[in-house]
Amino acid sequence: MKRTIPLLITAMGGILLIIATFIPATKDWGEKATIWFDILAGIAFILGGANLLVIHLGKVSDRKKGWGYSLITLLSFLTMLFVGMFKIGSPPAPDQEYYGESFVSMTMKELPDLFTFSVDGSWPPNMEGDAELPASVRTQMSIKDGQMTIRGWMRENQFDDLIDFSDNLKWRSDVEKLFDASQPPESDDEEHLPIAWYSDMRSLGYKGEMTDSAKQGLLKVSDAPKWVTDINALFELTNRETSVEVPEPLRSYLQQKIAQSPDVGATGSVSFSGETGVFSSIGEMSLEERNYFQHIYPVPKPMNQEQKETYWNEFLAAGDREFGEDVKIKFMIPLNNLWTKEVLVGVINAAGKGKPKKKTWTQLYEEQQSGVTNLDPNLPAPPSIELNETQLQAVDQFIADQDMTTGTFLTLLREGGEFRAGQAAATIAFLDGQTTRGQLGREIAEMMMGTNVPLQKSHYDFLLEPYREEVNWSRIVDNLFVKAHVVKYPFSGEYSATGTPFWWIYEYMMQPLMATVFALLAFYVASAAFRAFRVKNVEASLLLGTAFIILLGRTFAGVWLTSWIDPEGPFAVFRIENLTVWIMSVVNTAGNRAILLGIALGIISTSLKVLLGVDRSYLGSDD
Amino acid sequence: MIDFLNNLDRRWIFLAMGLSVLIPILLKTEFPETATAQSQAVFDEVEKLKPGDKVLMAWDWDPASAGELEPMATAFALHCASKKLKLYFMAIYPLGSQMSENTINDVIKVDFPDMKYGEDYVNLGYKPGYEGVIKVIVNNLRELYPTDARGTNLDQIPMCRGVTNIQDMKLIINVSSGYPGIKEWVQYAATPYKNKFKLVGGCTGVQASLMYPYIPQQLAGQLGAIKGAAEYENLVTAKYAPDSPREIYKEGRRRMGPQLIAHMLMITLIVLGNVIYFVQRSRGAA
Repeated sequence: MKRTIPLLITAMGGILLIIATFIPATKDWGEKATIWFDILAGIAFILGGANLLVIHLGKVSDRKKGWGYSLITLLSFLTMLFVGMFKIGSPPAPDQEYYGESFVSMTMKELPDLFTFSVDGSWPPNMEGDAELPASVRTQMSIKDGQMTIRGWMRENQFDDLIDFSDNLKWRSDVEKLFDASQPPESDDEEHLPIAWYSDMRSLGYKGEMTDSAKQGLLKVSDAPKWVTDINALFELTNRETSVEVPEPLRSYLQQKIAQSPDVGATGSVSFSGETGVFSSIGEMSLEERNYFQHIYPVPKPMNQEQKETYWNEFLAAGDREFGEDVKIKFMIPLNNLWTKEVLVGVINAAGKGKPKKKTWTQLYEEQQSGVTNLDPNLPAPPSIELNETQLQAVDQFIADQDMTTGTFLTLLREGGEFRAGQAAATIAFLDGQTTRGQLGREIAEMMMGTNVPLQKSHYDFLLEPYREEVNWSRIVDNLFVKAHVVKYPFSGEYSATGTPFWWIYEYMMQPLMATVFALLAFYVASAAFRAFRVKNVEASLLLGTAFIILLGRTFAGVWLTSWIDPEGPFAVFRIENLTVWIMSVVNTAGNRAILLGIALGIISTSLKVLLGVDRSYLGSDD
Repeated sequence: MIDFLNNLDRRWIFLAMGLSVLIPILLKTEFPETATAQSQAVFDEVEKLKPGDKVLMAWDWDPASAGELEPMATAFALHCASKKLKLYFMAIYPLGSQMSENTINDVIKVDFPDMKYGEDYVNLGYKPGYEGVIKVIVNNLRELYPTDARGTNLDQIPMCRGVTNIQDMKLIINVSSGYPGIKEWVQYAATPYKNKFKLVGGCTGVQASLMYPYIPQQLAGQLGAIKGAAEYENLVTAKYAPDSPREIYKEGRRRMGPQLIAHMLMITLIVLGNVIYFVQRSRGAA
């Protein structure tokens, strides 16, 4: 029995794979068998690990020769296993942390029934029973008896997945109706509350700070104790204040910025107090808030010749060294490469081009039902707009005033005439993508390092101080971001993420050691070639000649040695690089093909012997 | 002299080999490279693709073979990312997933910061099962890869939504250092589904000669060891980074310097060994 069962498994598995290869209708059987093979291969790793432990523990325990190496092997194995399996030092996966959102646990059963939404709808044609809904909605959505039902509020990504699920217009229209029906309750200002329920994570999430009225509104939904507790807990979490202190001189800088432009002072739940120097966040800080605060440094505006000369003179005054004209030219390069008014106006005008809005899926479905055959998915495009004279003057004003912030600039543009949200977004994106004042100083410093005249420390300080300030500020924002964040899934990160102990061991031990051991081959091959490669007969001579051609042909030496042969002439084939190709693609291929065919025939006969139970050596001895 | 050479301590040979590798590395010696038909075929297969085409990057190698394979992996990534292809990294070699991460970190994150994970490239990670993995994913990717290497469900990764199996790929690029590797990709993917996608690869010098019987029907082209990598790198950088390619895009060509000197040393040693052999044989006959 001990031998019969493995024998039967082998025979059945092998025969099944042969059948699946030749009979297309049985392809699935072969796949299933292969999946089992893959599972077994995975288990083999566990068995391999256990075997390694047993063998080396035995060697260490018996103090056999070389037990020290066994001990090192064991320690290395266990260390890698420990740091890898328990993800020691691994940061949580960013896409699983939902930055800016606070979570409490909530199962589907605990979600109030009020948050179950239904609309009339059915499966797309020919898909009922055969298909599964997209993974993002599978656990919370059902379609039966002409009703589409979802537990919890449908999110944008779920809507997109459902739309992509089928291109049938009725399906898309039904999904759209369900999406509209399943949105979170509205707040006092008639905006949907930023609340979401994640079925996969069994969690209720709330973005930003929950107001008292929002809390009261949610508490009215259900008086189930778990719901009340969770909403109260969410309120606490989203109203938790975290703060960091901003040191001087950054504090003064921020104070100045806030005085110039109130839009720098606060975004939603994140704020800075110039008086106390406290930078704080209510609830968690979102990525958008972090990015916003990290980019409050204004971008330098294009400079006219006078402004450039002033900047150069300020630079000169920072030290007492004389610089020639060539150094000045280098200094001016980054200043000359700054953006221009024409580019900014072009970007804003391009964003003002009328783009047609998409019709809703329901509109398209209704058009189809009314007999329209040539459906146009777009609504008529609004007319294009360009900046008017007043707005162009605002652009000039923005460029001339080095301290004017983007917020003030946008206000001027809106006051000057029609200005669309898309144009505002394009303006912000354009300016965010430009070099900051700190980066400009650093670029100039790098440029100056390429000259023959060394700068003094005071010159470097003049150029780099703004950059240092920006970096320090960026760190302060990061500190607040991390401090305000509550880790949701600490084990969601990658075990081999950069900086983890696993990564260190892999990067600085395993990788160099493996490369080193492999590289030793070159030394042994050289020694062996010197001592053993002898031309004792014709076959050895042929082998040696071929080896020389290939060795030369794989380097530039081969090309160089026979470069005197005309590459287009009748003797071109005797150029070493061509001889190499000929040997590899003709002689080598012919030999290899013969060997491969022989091996294939051998595999067939050996496999048949194994499958039919004639050869049982793989099962080990009877003992 | 002959007696001295005959009794030469092998450590002198080790020293000579060490110096022949070390000196060109320190001098950063580079030689011109002309593409052979194989490298050109690999380059042309990638060139035929259009932006947005799907490419499976099967990275089946480990640090031991990095000397030969890393430059070609880097060049493949540069080429594919420059052409705005959708890159699906995977591995059936235990350390292949780490190699994919290295390529992503060295090439994509540095030179193509606009490429987004999940939209432009994804790392599906390593799966045990050798050629069994290929046999399954060629028909059903989700059977063995329900998630990517980070544990995200494939259905939630935008670029994976429409992919049911690897027949959806336009091209498979395999960088291979042994078993399982390029031969298995030829046998279980490219041969049964040769009308669905093309396969090109890069492999170690030891494997390269074994793969010639499959060219060009089952394997459209291959890069053999560092020589192949240097030629391909030359073609890619000439078109996609002509001005001043970063150092990692010149690594293949830089490694040809040590290879040339080491090969010359090998030839010298073999010749010397045979001279000693013939002199001793003639002495014995006398």
